[in-house]
Amino acid sequence: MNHLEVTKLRYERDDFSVSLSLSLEKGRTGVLLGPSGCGKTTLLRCIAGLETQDGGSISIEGKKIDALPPERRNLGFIFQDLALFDHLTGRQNIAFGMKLRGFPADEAEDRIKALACTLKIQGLLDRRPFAMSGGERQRLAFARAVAPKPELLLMDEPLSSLDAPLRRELRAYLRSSLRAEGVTALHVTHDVEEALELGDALFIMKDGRIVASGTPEEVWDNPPDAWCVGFLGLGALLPPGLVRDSAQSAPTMRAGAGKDELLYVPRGCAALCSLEESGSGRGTYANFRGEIADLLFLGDHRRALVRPHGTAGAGADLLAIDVNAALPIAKGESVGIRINLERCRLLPAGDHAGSAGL
Amino acid sequence: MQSGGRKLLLATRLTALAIILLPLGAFFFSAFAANPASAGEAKPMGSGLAAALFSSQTAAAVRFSLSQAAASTLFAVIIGLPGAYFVATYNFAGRKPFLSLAAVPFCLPPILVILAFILYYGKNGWFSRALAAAGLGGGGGGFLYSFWGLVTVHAFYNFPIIIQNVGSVWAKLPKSREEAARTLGAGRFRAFAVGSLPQLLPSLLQSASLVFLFCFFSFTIVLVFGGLSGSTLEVGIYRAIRFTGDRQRALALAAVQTAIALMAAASFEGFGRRGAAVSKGFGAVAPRRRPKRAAKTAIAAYELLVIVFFLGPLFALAAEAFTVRDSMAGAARFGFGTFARLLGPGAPLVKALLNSLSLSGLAAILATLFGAALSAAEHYARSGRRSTWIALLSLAISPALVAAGLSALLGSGGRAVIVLGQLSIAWPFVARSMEASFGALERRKNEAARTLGAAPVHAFLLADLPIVAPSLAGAAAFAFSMTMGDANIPLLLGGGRFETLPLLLYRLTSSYRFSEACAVGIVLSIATSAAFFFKEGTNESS
Repeated sequence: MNHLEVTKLRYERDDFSVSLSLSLEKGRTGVLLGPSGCGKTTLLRCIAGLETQDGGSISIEGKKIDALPPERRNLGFIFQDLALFDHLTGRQNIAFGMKLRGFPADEAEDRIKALACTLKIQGLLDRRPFAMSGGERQRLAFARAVAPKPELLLMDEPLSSLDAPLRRELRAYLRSSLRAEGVTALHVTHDVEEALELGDALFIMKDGRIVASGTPEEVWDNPPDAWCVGFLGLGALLPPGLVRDSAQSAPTMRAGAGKDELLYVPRGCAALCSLEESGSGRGTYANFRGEIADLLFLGDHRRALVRPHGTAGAGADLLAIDVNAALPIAKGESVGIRINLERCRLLPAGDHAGSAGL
Repeated sequence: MQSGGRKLLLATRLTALAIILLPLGAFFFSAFAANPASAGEAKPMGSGLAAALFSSQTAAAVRFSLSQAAASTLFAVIIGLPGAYFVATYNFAGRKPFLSLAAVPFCLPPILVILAFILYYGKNGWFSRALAAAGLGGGGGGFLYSFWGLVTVHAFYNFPIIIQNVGSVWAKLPKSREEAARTLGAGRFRAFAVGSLPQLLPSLLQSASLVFLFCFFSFTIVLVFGGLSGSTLEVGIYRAIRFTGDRQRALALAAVQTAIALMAAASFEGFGRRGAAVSKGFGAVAPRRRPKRAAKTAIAAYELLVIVFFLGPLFALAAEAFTVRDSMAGAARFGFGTFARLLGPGAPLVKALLNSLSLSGLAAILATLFGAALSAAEHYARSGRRSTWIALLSLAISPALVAAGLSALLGSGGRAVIVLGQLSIAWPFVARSMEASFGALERRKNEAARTLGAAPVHAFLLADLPIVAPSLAGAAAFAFSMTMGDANIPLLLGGGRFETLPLLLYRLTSSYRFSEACAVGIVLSIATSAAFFFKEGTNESS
């Protein structure tokens, strides 16, 4: 039995709707990943009882919780703005939920000490939230939410307001604390890196629906459509016609690849080759020509953004090809491109509009 | 601009201090020079002052002032708070009118409200008659002249302030803390108490201290309704000056009053700063919900309560103005007869209107110019230290004392002294509100204009004036409403020579010519609110 089971949840307001099902095993961290406005937060708020769904059901450990008010669902929620009680000290903030859930005073105190120790906020317990730094407030919010041992922890982009280095540091904290607490958690973010680092299971959301789910590896290997490839930055999308002529024997290049499909080229599947080699594709390789649209210096290597010939203005991505820093190429130069088609796939184009190809 | 600003700042600050201190000094002097006790050798100078300061009468006046102001504030908060919640949370029919009620205290002079309450709650009032008709006691006429009557009138006057000020903060209050408390196991009320109340409290306390200050200084209403139950400090000062001639006693009462008022003003400022700090993190106004059944019922009940108990008097006033009776006990009918009488021989209404416009209009213009100049000087001189304290000091001093001081200084009965008297009560309000809008100006825009070649004055006209203009219009409208509605200064300083609209209203009310008084009231309220609504039109958000 799954720990969290959301079945046919339906939520409709004006021109916005959410309709989905998902499940999560005990002790795992699920990450809801999607662009702004796709309904991630709404889903979290429905699970917490802060919004009322129009249909479907939510259960935890097989018990339906739909009819319960938020305070009786025994969930933890970390809000985007953290929502700490500024008039209470750090200790009082952490104790708040335990007190209401009837923890004995000494047990609560032990737990506060243990959490403070794990999260390294021992010195902050008698301070009030407004006198703490962003990272400290974030850890306090985590401690407050997990202190009453919730059956499910819901996190609504709690790291989004922090700057990049601090976010990386706190991600590591969050990851180890979630493991240490053994808590089942559902985390909302629009940051792909964050999703990969924290998630045991990914749920990719778009327009109120879940368009892909599974372990990060599964989602990476099997993006359902072109939109997903673009959103997750998995690779480039090219018109199928580009490689058909040079690689007709490739298994992915089945006859009749239509207009509504794009060729998904995962990162690392393309390489530069000499101009002479281009057009001589064999087996699972497709070779063709392109032009270096931009060249990025990335320290130990360079990244060439290559536009295949004949794709200008066609909505195709640029191919990102990492090359040795010493390779003598320049912006605007014509080059040969070789793609290994074994990992490439044709995907429904959907509303993909082309991207920088990173 | 900075050095020019400094000079202007110095000049305006000195003028402000002169406006405050000269009448005060003159009163001081007159109190000791005119008092035989201090002239003689037997008693040391100021002994009358000391005796008055520690007399039981002073203690009683302090007690009454504080208790009536506290009770009025509490009452206003109790009535205003549900309204604040409703307007912040729900979309409902009547929401906009509720918000515009906030104009009431600024548009309707006390003398008008008194008249309306007498007509409604008085012995023969509409409400009392309705009660009697329903067989519920013999009318509540006496109630109005008790402590609770006074408190009710004050609450009526001030609850819209609570609705608007607290409501606007409530609307922006992030719900996440309350929701966090819910997810941690708190029920609705507990979640509100922990999640929202602490953030709402500063603005609530700030509005409450403002209401407290208004009620604490309330003069006309206490003079009329508080008569039997007690006297506030301000009324005591007025009586000591006017009837007993005991100026040292007046001075003692005024000193106590100023001390208390400064404390209330300081807490107003403190809560204001705290509130601003708390609300800094607030986001946009949350979308309002459509009320469900229970909320709908509660809102309807609340609206009914406000209409019956608080708007009833205003309806009664309007109705009375257009009622014509053929004889004292004759049948009443609709007509403009009352207005016709006031415009007839001698035309007292026209005369009073012209007097009001020429005296109060001029005072309002001067107060606006001076108050705006002070806050502008402060902004451009980057003084850092605000002139707030001068304005606050001015607000904390008894108007009766200032009037008596001005009269000692310039004599009474002249136009100039009335204008000066009204100027001195209105400019601090202008300065306070303009200080806020100058404070909100982005210096960068002015600096950008300067780097593009604009001279200081030109930069002000191009970059800053368009931004502060709406609030300047608002402050001017407020000053106009305030001086137009003011009965005290012309009464104390006019020497009976100038009958303004409020004085005409007062005279008609005291001779029981209620219909005519109501007609004057209509004209007065149009004059005081026209400016206010003009301002609302220019800038919705201010």
